[in-house]
Amino acid sequence: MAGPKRVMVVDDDDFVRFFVEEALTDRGYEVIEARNGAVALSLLGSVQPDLILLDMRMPVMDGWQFAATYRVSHPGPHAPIVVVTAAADAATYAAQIQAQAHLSKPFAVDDLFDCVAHHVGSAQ
Amino acid sequence: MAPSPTQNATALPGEDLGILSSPAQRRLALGAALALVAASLFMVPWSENVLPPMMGLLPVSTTFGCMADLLTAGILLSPFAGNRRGPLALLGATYLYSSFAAVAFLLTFPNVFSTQGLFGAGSQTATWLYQAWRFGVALGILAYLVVDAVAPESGRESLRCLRGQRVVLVPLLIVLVLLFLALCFQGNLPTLIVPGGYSTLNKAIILPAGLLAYALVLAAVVRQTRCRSLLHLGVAMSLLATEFSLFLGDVGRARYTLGWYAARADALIASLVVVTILFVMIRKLYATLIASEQQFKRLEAAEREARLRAEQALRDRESFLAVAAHELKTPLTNLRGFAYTLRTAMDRDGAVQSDRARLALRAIDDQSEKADRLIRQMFDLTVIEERGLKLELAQADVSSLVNEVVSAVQLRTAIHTLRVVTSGAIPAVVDALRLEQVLVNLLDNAIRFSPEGGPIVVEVGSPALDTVCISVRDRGIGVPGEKRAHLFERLAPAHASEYRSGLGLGLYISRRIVEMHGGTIAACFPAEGGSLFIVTLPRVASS
Repeated sequence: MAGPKRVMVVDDDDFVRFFVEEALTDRGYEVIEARNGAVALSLLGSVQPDLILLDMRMPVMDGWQFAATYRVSHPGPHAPIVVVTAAADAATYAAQIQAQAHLSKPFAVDDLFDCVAHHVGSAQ
Repeated sequence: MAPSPTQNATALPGEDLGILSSPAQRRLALGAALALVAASLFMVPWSENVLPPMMGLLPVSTTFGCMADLLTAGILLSPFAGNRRGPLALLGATYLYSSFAAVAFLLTFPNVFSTQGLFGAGSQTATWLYQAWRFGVALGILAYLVVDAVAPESGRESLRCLRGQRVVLVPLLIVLVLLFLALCFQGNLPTLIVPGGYSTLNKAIILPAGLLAYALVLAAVVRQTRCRSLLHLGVAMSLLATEFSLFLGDVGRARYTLGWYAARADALIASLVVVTILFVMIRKLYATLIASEQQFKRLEAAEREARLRAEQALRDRESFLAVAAHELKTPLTNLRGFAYTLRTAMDRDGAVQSDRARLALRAIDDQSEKADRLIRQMFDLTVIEERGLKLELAQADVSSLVNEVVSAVQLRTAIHTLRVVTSGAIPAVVDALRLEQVLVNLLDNAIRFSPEGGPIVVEVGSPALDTVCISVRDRGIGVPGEKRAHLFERLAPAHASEYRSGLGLGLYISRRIVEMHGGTIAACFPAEGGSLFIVTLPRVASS
């Protein structure tokens, strides 16, 4: 695939999106931000990410609704989803929406890199 | 009236079976006793008159007495008596003995079932059995009093010879032995009945001894038990009746005299009284039983409810802790994230661009403030719930306080426009820091629940001279209908299931602060969307 790998960050917390974007961009990834599930879905009409980092509890459209709608209304292939949540039952959430992995907040940024690299490979 | 161990330990002997006699019942019994005494004494002058034989009276009165004794024994030996089984078993055995002896007496009495009495009874058989019957009962009751008084605790275990079926077999055996003796040795027994009356021995020793024995036992029962229970009232009544039965028989001087008949009638009436008392006892026993069953059910229901409440409280606490942990992790995520970006930039370039550094530091500042706010909320909750909040009241201008808070909060958001509408200074006596906390909370909510941004209008006014009113109006997503009723209660995050919405403590703490000022806080949700929170405070806090 040509060009850098694309990672979509879906989180309602501005700061989280900001530093994740900065950190991943630094590593050569292309980052698409969305502040809730609905925004993410509308963006997915025009871009195809290689990985989605998904917060679960968000206003307007939460992670569960997003995952369900994404799988039904968008033609494949679907990007793998990593659940990123502060909730204690991150693994349960991940299982509920059949996500490929989960990352518990607060996470070390190196763990974020490992996780992204594991699912999409290095940036280029 | 559930008996507790302490009650048992101090229980008077009169509380056997737990069925106490009422003062009215004791008065009634005393009245009946006095009537009995009066009737007996009234009959004395004519007691030696010989009446034509009425062969029915003796069998009827004896049979009735026998049945009354059996019934009494039945209650004394029933499971109801489990509480003080030992002494009561002795008393029950005495009553069984009495009813068995009555049968033996009646069977051997001349001219009842046969001219001489059954089983080849002689002229002295029935009268000796009668004495054995009466003295035996007196002895049994005396023994009961002794056991009950001497060992009310250790006596709770039945005497060994009265356990199980022995309580029936022992009295039966005694009566059979006595019957055997009275039949076999009738020729050798001293003469108590002579043609035309009682023998000298009978008149001089046996009858007075019986009178004395019953008088003493009656006095002992009354003294020891004070007839506080229906049981002892019944025992005393039957003793009294026997006493006068013996007395009338004594003054009658022979069988079939007026005195003798009166003695039989007396026994019959006494049995009727005892049976009546037994009925009252049974009624009370069942009433107690039903009441304790209902009490048990009530306690069970109360216990179940308390358990459910405790379980709910535990679940609430657990979910609160889960939410609290979730909420604290969010600022921590950002603190770690921005610390990382600063560090990597430093490592890579040896320096950080000032605008990036400023941004990261602002984020760190903001997020640590958020964490601090969460921790403070949790602390406030503890203070409010456990120690009670203390206000530090002072004169302040509510308008400028609102202006300051709003400008501070405006710095946190770029997509919301905060605006204050006020009509000049409004001085009031408030706890400025706490009021600020309430306002920050309302504004935080307004911002958080207006994710698309928009205007937030804070209005300060004084609708009446003695009140100040602060309202916060946003155009956000409002609060779902089913959550509105519990908005200001603890642990009721309005959007918990939808997305991150804080600890659900903000409005609860705000309400408590406002209420401590003597004010009110309310929310309404205008049709055109968003929320409107209104705080009304007295200008001089009433707490």
